[in-house]
Amino acid sequence: MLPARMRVTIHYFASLRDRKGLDSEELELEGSLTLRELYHRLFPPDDAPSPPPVLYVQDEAYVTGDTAPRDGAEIAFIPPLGGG
Amino acid sequence: MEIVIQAEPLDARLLEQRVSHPSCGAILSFVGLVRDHHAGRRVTGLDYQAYPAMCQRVAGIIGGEIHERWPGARAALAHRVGSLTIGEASIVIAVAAPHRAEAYAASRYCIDRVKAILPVWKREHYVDGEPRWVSNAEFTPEDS
Repeated sequence: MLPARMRVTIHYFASLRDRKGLDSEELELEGSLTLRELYHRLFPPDDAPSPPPVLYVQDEAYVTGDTAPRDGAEIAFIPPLGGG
Repeated sequence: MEIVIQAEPLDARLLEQRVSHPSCGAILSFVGLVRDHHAGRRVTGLDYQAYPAMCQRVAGIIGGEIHERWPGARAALAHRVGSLTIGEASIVIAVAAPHRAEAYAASRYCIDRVKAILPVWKREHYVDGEPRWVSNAEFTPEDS
């Protein structure tokens, strides 16, 4: 069986946007991985300075890091919030 | 709960009109302002960034929570994005309620929830040193 392939859109904000130099991008993902694994792939934990702790978002809703991305999903990693 | 994310200056009176209702004997507006210091450093200005589509969803969640706790309360929120100078309003929360106690309680609840879950980010600029994205104390990441 071929590995599952899917396309997702990732939105970047605040310090993650600065690191990427991108507001958002489309990625093709192969196989199964969780949002937490995807975050660590995009922002390796041993980078310096270390990437911020985040909350995970799929389709504009908070989900757990164990969630598997859905094909066509809008994904975001939420670094420390500063609203108010 | 109605929410507006805007680059233009906020107008508390306008938001009060949106929540005003004949059943409500009180309207309370909370206005958050850009302050000239933070954690002992002199601040010269702030940049706010938002995830607007998700802000709509999160405002719906917070509005639902407020409705559960204070069924008669009517809340609305406006948040600035872009670059702000000292003294400018970054957020307005207007709450109308039948009595003042509910208005005070719901307003306090709303700003606490905003700081914890509304997808908005703040970068501080300082007299000395590089600008920095700063975190609300209420933010709780999943893996910390």
